[in-house]
Amino acid sequence: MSVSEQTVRNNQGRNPTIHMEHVSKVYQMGKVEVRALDDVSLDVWAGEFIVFLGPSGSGKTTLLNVIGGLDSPTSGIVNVNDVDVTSLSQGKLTWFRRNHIGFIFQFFNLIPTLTAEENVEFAAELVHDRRSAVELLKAVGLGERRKHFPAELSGGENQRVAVARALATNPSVLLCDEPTGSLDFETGKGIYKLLRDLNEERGTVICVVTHNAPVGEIADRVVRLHDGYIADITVNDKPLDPNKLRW
Amino acid sequence: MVTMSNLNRKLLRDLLAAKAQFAAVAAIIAIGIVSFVAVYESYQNLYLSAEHSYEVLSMGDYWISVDELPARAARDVDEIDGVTAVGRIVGETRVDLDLESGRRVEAHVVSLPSGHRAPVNDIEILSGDYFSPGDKRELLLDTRFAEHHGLEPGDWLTLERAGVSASFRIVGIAVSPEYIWIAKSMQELFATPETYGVMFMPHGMAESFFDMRGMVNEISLRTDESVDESELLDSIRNILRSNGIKRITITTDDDIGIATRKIDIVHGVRTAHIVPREDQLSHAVLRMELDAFEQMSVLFPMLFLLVAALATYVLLSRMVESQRIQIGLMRALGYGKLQVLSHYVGFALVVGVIGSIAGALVGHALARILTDVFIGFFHIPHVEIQPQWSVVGLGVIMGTSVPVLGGIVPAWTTMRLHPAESMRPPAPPIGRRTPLEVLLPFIPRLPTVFKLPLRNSFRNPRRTLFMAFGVMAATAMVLVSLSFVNMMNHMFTQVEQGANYDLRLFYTGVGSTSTTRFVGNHAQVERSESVLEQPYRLKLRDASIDTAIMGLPAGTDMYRLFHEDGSRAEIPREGILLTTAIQNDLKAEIGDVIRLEPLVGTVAEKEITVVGIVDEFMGGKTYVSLEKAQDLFDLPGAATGALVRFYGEPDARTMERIYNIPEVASAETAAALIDFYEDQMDFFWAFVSVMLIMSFGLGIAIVFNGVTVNVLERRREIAIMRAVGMGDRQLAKMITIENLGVGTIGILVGLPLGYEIANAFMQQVAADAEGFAFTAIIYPSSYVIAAVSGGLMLLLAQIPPIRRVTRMSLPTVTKGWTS
Repeated sequence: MSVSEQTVRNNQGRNPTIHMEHVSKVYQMGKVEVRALDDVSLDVWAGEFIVFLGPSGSGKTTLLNVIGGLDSPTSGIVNVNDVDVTSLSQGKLTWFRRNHIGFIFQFFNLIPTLTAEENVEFAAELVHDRRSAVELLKAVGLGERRKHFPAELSGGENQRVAVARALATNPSVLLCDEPTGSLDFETGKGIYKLLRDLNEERGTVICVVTHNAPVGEIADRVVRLHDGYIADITVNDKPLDPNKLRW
Repeated sequence: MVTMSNLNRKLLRDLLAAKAQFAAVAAIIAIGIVSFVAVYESYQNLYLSAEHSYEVLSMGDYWISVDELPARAARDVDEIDGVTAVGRIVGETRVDLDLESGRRVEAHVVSLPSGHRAPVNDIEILSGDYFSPGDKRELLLDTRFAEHHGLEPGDWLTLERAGVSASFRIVGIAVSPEYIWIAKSMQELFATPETYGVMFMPHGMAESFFDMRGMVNEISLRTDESVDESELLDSIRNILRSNGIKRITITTDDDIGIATRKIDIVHGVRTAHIVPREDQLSHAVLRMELDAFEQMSVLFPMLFLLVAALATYVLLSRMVESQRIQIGLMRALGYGKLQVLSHYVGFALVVGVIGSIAGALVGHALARILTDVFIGFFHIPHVEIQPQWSVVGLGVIMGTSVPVLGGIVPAWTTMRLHPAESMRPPAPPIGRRTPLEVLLPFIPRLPTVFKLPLRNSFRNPRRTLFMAFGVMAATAMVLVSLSFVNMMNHMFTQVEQGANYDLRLFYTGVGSTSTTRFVGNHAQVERSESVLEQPYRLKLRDASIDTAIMGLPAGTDMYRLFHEDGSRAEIPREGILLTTAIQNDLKAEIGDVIRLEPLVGTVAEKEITVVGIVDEFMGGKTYVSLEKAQDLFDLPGAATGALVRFYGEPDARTMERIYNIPEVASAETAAALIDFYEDQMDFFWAFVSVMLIMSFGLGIAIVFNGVTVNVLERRREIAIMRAVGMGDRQLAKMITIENLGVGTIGILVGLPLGYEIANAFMQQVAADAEGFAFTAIIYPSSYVIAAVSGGLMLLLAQIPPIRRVTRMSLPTVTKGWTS
């Protein structure tokens, strides 16, 4: 039985962690209408590791933003942990992101004037059920570097701080937008290993957006996007160990 | 242990990262608050000191001036319920100071009881003693007069009146709440202690000296709060009428002209004049000064705080723009809109609190010094200095709320930023031809070093406007400061050019032109000309003003008058010349016919045509020919003084002979007059210097911030230019060209703005001072200095940011969006 089949079986009788139904997102750029998402429907189950693949402009980041409540769809339904994200006010969306979602960005987006530890605490301070910044940084291998500022860390280290920060609020969903886009191959591989371990150890739903096709091999499912619609969904029976990843 | 949230930690570190820029804003706030707290607290201290002195020394509420009344009349007034009244004798006398030059001066003598202290208008003894009982030949001198002439208790002084001399022993030196400001009249506000002083004499002695046994010529009184003013005035009128007074005037509606109405002995009609405290000369001048002081305490801080608000706005706008990804991140992590908003408002709050607390504390300390300087200048008898914590608190509130108001707009924009949108790097600025390039087609062919700055100026109009505003504000403030210097120079020049005589004589009462001719007969006298001056009320339509009409020989060269354009104005044979200030007050034009109402004597009202306007900064007199004055006043052959010019330096003997002429009450040399003006203005120069320093500080701070924001916003672009081979000098040249271009706009707007501010300030002061021509005077050289200063401030302030960009690490800046 594949991992994905196992996942579905484990979640039988439950609602999916992420449920998207006929989701569209249309931007008006002057007189031009840009359809970033076009009738996307998808369920993501607890414990899944999903990679969204597609070229630039295919709607990957928009999809992630809509799931994370950073952007609202023009039409359709988005439920995350049984919360209808599309019906939430701005204030409720803030609360929702704080308690359900963790973000990892391509350019890390760390606060440059805070140390690694403070950057993690910066997120942890927002919730009661917080995790220790020191422990998280140790877990990502930065225990010794926690007092350093982002400018004093390498790109890979910065991204690991970003991972630790994303986990500080104990999110059930981790949304990663090109998390290795600005890292070298070896460092990137280490980040995927870290994400995969988190997924397996904690059951955190991991959604990775990338245009790097080989990354899809480590996922349970690969969703290919093209011009805003889902072109293809592939299930990996045996996801690749991130250590064996090559691109 | 109190732990700091990481959001606050970020705030603190962001502040430290841009410490120079935030410090510049805090400095602007601090300067504004220093000037507000120091000046406003001093104003309150001076106000309180004056009020306290009035209270302690029982300053009168009303003065009744008459030719003479039996002392019983004063007792009758004293018996009115709720009234304490004192009858006294007030008069002018000559003082023989027994100086080597033989010069004599005029004194204003006020009688005081000898057995006890006066229940109304008491004095404060600074040294020596009060009068001994028994109405002896004793005098108390006002401290300014005593100091100027080196007189001390124990010295003797000879007073002369009506050809009789009497010597008095000085028993003490004093100050009086009635004479905090000593002036002969509102038209002669500056009475120099060289020729004029106030002294006090035992009442019994004054009765014999002024030949007024059992009589008084002034009643001063204080009232309880319960006293109804109209009932009181009715009672006083009844008492005065029962003592033969036919005409009673009250200056309730005239807040200035009162001094000119000091009653003289008039022919026939006996007049009494009632002066409430608000019209009392010293009090009115002091209040005028304090009002100007109060206005100044608000006007300049407002300018600074406005600039601080704008500086905060620009600084935080840049910060919000440069941290839009961080804002998006915060929102993505789950920070609420209000948390983010308050985080950015926090920057303004911290800067405001630091700037205003520092400013308020320094201002509070300076207030003490400033109060001492002004107390020393005004000679207020009882000093009441209290820490004005409400002013300090108000300063802190103002200094804190103004930058918060400035910062709230950019902070508010964070509320509108959509998290997903703000995490995307901003679109690169669009390069396009500027409107100027479209209008001037040769511009695109200019070298890059000119073309780029031009395009940059148009690329971010808000930033360009702020830069221009900074230079404009600084230039305007320098010009306003210089306008004060120009105003003083203009005044001195007018005094110097106008007083083309060597000596001015004041006769006792109304004298004769024959005295002037007698003076002219002295061997060393080149020329002497009579002057005839009388107080008058000028009326035109609904407007009126109390002033003096001065009669001068037509075509005189000794008392020069000038038109506003600087050309000489001749004294006309017919008609009257008004000063600009009186013209403004009366809204008069050349050709208007003005009604003249004499303020003394029984001369009938007359009419006269305005034939010209003269520019006279200080004093609000009007001018007619001597013959016309004699005709108007119905005083043929009369003169109240003379202007004298000598061949070279007159010897002591000539001077003594002139001073000894019985009709000569006092004399004033033109040189002494100018010296006196200069002495009076010592603290003024200090004030202007501080203002200039503050203006420069403001200019440097705001331009520094403007240029820094300008340069930092484009540091990647600048780094790219450096990376492709543009040298530091070229870069500095390009930034300088851009800044100078924008600065020139600021300077061009700042100059007329400075003129308007100076004018508005002067007109505000003039509104409180009837008869004074307080219009802004700015010399062409001041415009040049202000413009050069604006440019200089810009060049100095851009040095640190230029050094910063030429030293920044290229790899770091070009690395991209790593955070």
